Amino acid sequence: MKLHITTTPRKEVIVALPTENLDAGNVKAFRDAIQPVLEEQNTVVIDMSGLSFVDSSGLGSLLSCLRTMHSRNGELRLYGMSKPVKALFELVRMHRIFPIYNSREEALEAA
Amino acid sequence: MTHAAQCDAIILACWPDEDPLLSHLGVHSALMPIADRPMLQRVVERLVALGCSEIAMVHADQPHSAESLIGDGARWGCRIRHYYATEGERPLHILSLLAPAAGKSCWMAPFDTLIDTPAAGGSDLAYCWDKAGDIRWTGWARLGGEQVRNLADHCGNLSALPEAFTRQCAVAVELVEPPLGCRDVAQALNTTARILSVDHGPGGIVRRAKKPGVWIGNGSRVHPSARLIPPVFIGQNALVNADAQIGPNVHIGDGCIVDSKSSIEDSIVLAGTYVGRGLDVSQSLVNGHRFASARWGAIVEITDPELLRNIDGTGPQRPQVAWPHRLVAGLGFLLAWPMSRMLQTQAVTGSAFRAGHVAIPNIVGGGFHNLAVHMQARHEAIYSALPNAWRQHFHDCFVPGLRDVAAGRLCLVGPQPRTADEVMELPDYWQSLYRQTPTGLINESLMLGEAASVPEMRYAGDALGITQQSLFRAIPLLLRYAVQVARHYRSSLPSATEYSPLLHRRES
Repeated sequence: MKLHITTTPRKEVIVALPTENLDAGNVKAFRDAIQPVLEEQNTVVIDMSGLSFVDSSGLGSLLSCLRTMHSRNGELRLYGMSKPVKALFELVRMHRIFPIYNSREEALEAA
Repeated sequence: MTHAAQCDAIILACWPDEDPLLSHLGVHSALMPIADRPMLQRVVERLVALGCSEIAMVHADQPHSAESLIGDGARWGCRIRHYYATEGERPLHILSLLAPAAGKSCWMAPFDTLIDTPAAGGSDLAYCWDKAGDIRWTGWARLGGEQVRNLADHCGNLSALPEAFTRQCAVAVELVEPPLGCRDVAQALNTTARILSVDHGPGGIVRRAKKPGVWIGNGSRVHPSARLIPPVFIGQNALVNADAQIGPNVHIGDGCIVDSKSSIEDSIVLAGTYVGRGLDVSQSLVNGHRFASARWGAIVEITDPELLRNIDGTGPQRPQVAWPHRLVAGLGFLLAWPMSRMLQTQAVTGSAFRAGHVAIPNIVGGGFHNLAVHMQARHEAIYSALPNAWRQHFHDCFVPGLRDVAAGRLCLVGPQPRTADEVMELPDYWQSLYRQTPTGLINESLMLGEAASVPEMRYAGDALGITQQSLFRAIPLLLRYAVQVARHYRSSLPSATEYSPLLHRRES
């Protein structure tokens, strides 16, 4: 999986997911692709706007990203979730764990 | 029905604008149960209460489910005839044949909407409601023959029925409260809240009332630690597990399971749905593995059966052991038991009586309880590399366990045998394995022996056991087990008095 990575002037890294689904079929590729980013950066912002479906393994991989960032005192933020993904995050109570923003600007200003 | 007759009421079962979310969920607005009975049934009951005895129901197509629910109306003491709208320029042509005679009037009502208290007033009256300044027809009216014929003649399209009514029927308007109905998710949730918040009195909702505002159906069980916040309706044969929080404004359908620590508020859970552990359902309509969120206006399909799923059957089920496993185990026991007795030079255990316990899910109160089995759990001895552990496992665990598998108490490959207390001490994700499948006789972590002494390896072995339920995957594991036992079958067995303190010392 090839992630679209952008770095802001404040050294925040925006990762856009190049897939519509984050599920058991591609979650390993996602982990492998994002792991180097998580290990190098202090603030990672994930653009979820392209995602329309996430399953429990996808949620697990995002949780694992969050744990990695917390273990390094880093920050992981999410923005641009579609309505079904937001509804899913609320169902499994993950909206209480992740900092979620509506837009890229909000996510970047939340420092 | 081939002939038309004059009637006291016409139910329009050809109402347009079905919400796409509801269609995607596979629910019908008129048939969705709201606190015990579907809206269509409530409409019929209301019309009967208004004095109607001859009711005509006009369908748009062949909705057998609506027709079979209502039948001929005998149970309400009325007669219901079913008619069908036709295709073409005058789909409601049948209304002109049903129109009341001069000087008489009839009620008109949509099949999925109820208004609070339509007064049995005069003729040519339409019941409307005020939606933020926009006066809308509820679908309820009391019309004379001429108005009914007007509607029949000028409604050229069923999807424009409300507009045709407003345009063609010159009637007085009476404003009422917003109607009750299920035409979209938000309206269904609002209707549930309104119906449940009313004091129904004895028999109003045909359920036993646990406390004011809490109705629980026959055969349903609610764990003592679950919290019910009125108003709540729970259908028949449902199960609410420990620490769940239900309410307010919640309808739980027949045969649902709400697992522990879940929270449901302002929602409808349709019949036969499993709501997984620790979920937060709010302002949603849940039907099996799909739910529609009124807050987000979105529908979500869940692929993980541990979160949401349809439940087959009418109530909670324990995991079952497949028949091929039972057959193979039965044959294996007949072969292995004489061999085990012959090789067992120093009798240790291997009793024919029930010797140990394994955890099985408690489908009534949640958690787990113990099931007596013939085998004794000897996995820990192998992980601890105790002397003769494999040999002991074969005689005390494997051979008697085959008998348990044949009886359907255990499966060949699955999670390690543990008692209920031991399982309850495991993390939630680990406990869920024991809810999915019966305890296994052997599994992959057992094959690792001493290397599986760390919990992560044992969890991996238990989880892998869930995927090895087919005989094709179980038989290679059984062969590997046989090889292991043969390799370790060297030294003589210690006696029971020698073995037990040894085991306890290593475990402590």
